[in-house]
Amino acid sequence: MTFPLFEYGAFGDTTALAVAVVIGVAFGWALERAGLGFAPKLAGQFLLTDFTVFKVLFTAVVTAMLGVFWLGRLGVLDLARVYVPETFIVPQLVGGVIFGIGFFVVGLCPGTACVAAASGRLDGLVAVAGMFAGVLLAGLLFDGLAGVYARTPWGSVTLAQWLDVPYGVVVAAVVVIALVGFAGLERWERRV
Amino acid sequence: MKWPQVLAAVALTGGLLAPFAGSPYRAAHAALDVSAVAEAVAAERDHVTAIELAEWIRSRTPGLRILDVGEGEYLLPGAEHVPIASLPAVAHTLRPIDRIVVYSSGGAHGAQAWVLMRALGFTDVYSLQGGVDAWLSEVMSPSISPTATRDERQAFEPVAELSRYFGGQPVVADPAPGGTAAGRLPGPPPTTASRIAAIRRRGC
Repeated sequence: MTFPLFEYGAFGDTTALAVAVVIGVAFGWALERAGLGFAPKLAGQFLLTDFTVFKVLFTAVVTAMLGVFWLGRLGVLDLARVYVPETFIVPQLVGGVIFGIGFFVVGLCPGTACVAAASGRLDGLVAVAGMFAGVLLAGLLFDGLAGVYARTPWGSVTLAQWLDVPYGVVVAAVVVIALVGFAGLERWERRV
Repeated sequence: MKWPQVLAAVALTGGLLAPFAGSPYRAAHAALDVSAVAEAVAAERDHVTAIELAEWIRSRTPGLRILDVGEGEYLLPGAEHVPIASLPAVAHTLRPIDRIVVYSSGGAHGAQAWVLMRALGFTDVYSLQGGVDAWLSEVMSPSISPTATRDERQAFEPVAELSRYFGGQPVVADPAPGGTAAGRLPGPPPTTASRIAAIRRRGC
């Protein structure tokens, strides 16, 4: 059995959507368990008082990265079939800055806004409404944005390709950075 | 040891071993099940005839992908030109559940491409027996001998109809290659290139 299962014909579109729902439920549950449905906790990351966001994100990155690398190496996962989003350097930098400002102002990112909304928190509901309004607005203005949208395309490029180092080296580097970060934060938080 | 320490140790091991593990991409390590491939060749499951391929195209077999791994001079209906050197790169855009047919002008590169596709993990893959030559002589200009019996003519009808579907022209001729209605012309037998040129002139 080779993954991604959908690419290898293990199931069709309807089952794929059902699987996506199950994965989404698990993801939402994990975020809520980590306390990321609570806006002050997320804002604390920007104020450098609460590093939960950093720890959750890097744990996810390390788990997924090691899983993908080793399952690919063992041939269980056909890595070439895993979608790599395209990079558009300038638009994504600009969008990232806008996103960062919004993240800090709201105290929620798109995923955690849904988590907060699901628990009935008013700030979450308002954030989700705002997100949809923003998406709608971007759609209406799309013709005007089209010129900026696709500037500086770099294609579907990974860190390993960009730095021209073997994939395994990037894996090792990210794992070491993450573990050093976790250990350092433990010490910092015990002192504070 | 507590869970965070255990997980950190596992992650560190997995991370530090990664640079020595090579590439995680399949194409870099494609392994060939030699027995299975040899069996497929012996059982003639590695190729299709031009007529069978024509039937697949006409009946719109779902997921059918036809790749010209040769010169790309003459593309079969629905075929894409993928020079054999770029086949590994293109292969991952093909779905493993697709039915893939590879061909070249004569069939050598087609057969080699078949082995490569098997090595990359595709199972529903075939090479076109005889390549473009076979397509031109069996589908585009299938021939029936002038001395054919009535049964042979009846058997030939579906082939002729298939040929006309693709804009071909069945001919009444000797079984010898290069025959025309007027009998074999003097001169060297036509090459693939000249037959392609003849079809292009005829407007197909």
